[in-house]
Amino acid sequence: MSGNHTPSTQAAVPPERGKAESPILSVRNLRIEFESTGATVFAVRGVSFDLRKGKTLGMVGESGCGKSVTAYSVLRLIQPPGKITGGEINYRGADILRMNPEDVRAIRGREIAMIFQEPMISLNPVFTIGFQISEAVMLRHGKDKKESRGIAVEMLTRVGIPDAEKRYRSYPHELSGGMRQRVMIAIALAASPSILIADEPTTALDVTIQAQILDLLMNIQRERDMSMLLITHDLGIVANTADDIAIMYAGEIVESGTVSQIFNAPMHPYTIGLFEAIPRIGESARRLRTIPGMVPSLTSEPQGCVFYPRCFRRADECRENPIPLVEKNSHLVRCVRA
Amino acid sequence: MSGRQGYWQSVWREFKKNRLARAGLWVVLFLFLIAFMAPLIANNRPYIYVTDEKVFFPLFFEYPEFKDIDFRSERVPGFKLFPPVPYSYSEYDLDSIVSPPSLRHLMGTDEQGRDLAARMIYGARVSILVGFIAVFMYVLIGIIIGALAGYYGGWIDMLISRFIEIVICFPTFFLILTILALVGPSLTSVMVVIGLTGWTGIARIVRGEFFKIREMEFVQASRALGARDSHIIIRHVLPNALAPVLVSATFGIASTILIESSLSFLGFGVQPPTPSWGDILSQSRDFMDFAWWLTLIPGFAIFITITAYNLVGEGFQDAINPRSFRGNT
Ligand SMILES: Nc1ncnc2c1ncn2[C@@H]1O[C@H](COP(=O)(O)OP(=O)(O)O)[C@@H](O)[C@H]1O
Ligand SMILES: [Mg+2]
Repeated sequence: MSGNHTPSTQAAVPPERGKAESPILSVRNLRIEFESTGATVFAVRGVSFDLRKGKTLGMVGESGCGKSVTAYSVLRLIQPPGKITGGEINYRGADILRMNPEDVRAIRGREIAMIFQEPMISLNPVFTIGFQISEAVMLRHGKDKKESRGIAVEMLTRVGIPDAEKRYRSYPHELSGGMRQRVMIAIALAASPSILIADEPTTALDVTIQAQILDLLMNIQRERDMSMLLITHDLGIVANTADDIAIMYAGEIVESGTVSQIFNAPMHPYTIGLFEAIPRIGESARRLRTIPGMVPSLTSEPQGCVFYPRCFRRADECRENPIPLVEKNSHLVRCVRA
Repeated sequence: MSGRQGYWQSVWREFKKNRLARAGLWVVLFLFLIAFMAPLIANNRPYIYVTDEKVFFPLFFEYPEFKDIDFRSERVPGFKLFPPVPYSYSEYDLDSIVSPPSLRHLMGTDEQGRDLAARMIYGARVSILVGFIAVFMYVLIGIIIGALAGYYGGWIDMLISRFIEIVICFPTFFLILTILALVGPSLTSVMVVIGLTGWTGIARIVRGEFFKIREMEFVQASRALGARDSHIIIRHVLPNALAPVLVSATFGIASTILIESSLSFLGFGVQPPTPSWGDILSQSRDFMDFAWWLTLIPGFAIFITITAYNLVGEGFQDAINPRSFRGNT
């Protein structure tokens, strides 16, 4: 371990940001475990990050890295056999993990809203989309049917659904994936939340639709001065949308900083690997470079670096001790060889 | 992308494409009509009776002057318009005992001279009554128990699942037979006993659906919006679990009708003079070698009814599955 850096397993926040305006959401040492037939999966181990007010934090990592469960835990939506076993989630001066369930329920949707990866199944197939948006409006504002219908149509128009009056009476299966995701966005924004968590909002969509949805999210965010946690497995997506980036691997943050810091000087071999996996124009999907190997599911606390088996820069020292997240070149990275 | 139709509307559209299921549904509707209109189809009083320039409607109203009068008798003069089966289900025509189908008795008579057609028509009432009320009861029980287990999981589910397994271990038919022997056979006890014992299948289905649906993203999405448990169960989970329940309930009606027939056949079901197809069949045993109509007609009615419900059930099953949001549409 190189000695000139102070190990910091606590705050994963670059100092210059900690001094500025305090973050709207601040996650500290979050731990999530899944109990399954005898074994415990340590899905998230000591994750810390800050979401700045009015900014977007892009959380990037391959499938299975623990991004979704991290996002779910912000609203305490982890279902058994999953369990949050430690940490803090501070929102407006209170720790969500220590609130009583009714208070958490009051935050859901109203203060912190969420959209999900699969717009195909995020809407209830047996109700019209209008019904579902109005329901969300009523649930949050206690408005009557007629009023909430008006707001719902307004929201549908705002998220770019043409002919909203007519679409109000459509069923989910009558809409394309992109349209459904727009509806999901409308539902999530119905109560004007201050934070939007978007868990891979474009992963299930075509590339052109992806760009439209991201544009929409960015515009609304700017318009409302909303903060956004944007989760994706594609570094390419966060380049234009995020202000900060946290790279996640196997339940840990392995690198974090501003977009320019990460894009100009990626240090962790995993981050570098993700950059190489961004599809380039003219490159066919078949020739896409991926990082060899798979994200491990950890059933025991790892000894050394979890990325070791897949790392192109690995050395014996990587296996000796847990690797701390430390500041190097003005942003945080979890690698002794960076 | 085209058109506007609800989930159930599209299920219905799929259902209609299935010819056998459609035929089954027609048979079921026909039986409903018969059962509902039984007193109008089989009755020993005429719809209209005209005598001395006066018009009466004996089938619809009671007239003190016609009390105990047999309108069919030659000795009652005037114009009479009778229902297609001018007999009640319980009167004896002692002139024709065990007589084969004829113009006078379209389906023949039984050993007490009762008109078989009238008894078959009223028997349809019993089978529908038992089928629907008993199944409605156990569907309700099954939904509640299955929903509790499926939504809450954990020890509640453990407890309920063990209980279901215990109930399933009893051979249902003999359980019903035993209870009926204790409480005494009657139409009501048949319905209640089937209703109280038949819920395990529905409970299992609902439990399974809940396990599946509560993991679905729209349930998570609703929870993420701050919806309450009760709201999520009633608005989101139940409507989506209803389709397989409907399928199972349709099959359930078929098997309930069969159970009722079997119970009545064994003398543990509906008690005379209320006619039940199973009971009619049972009475026919002594005359089987010559009175073919007494066996064939109720047997065939039971067979057709069961088949019709099963076809409808299968039709629903097929209609629900391809359209299901679980597949990729
Ligand atoms: N329902 C579950 N049961 C058991 N383990 C789970 C469950 N959900 C998630 N996990 C564990 O958590 C890890 C992270 O999952 P997830 O957050 O969904 O990953 P990501 O969103 O980054 O693709 C998985 O690799 C798995 O080990
Ligand atoms: Mg995920």
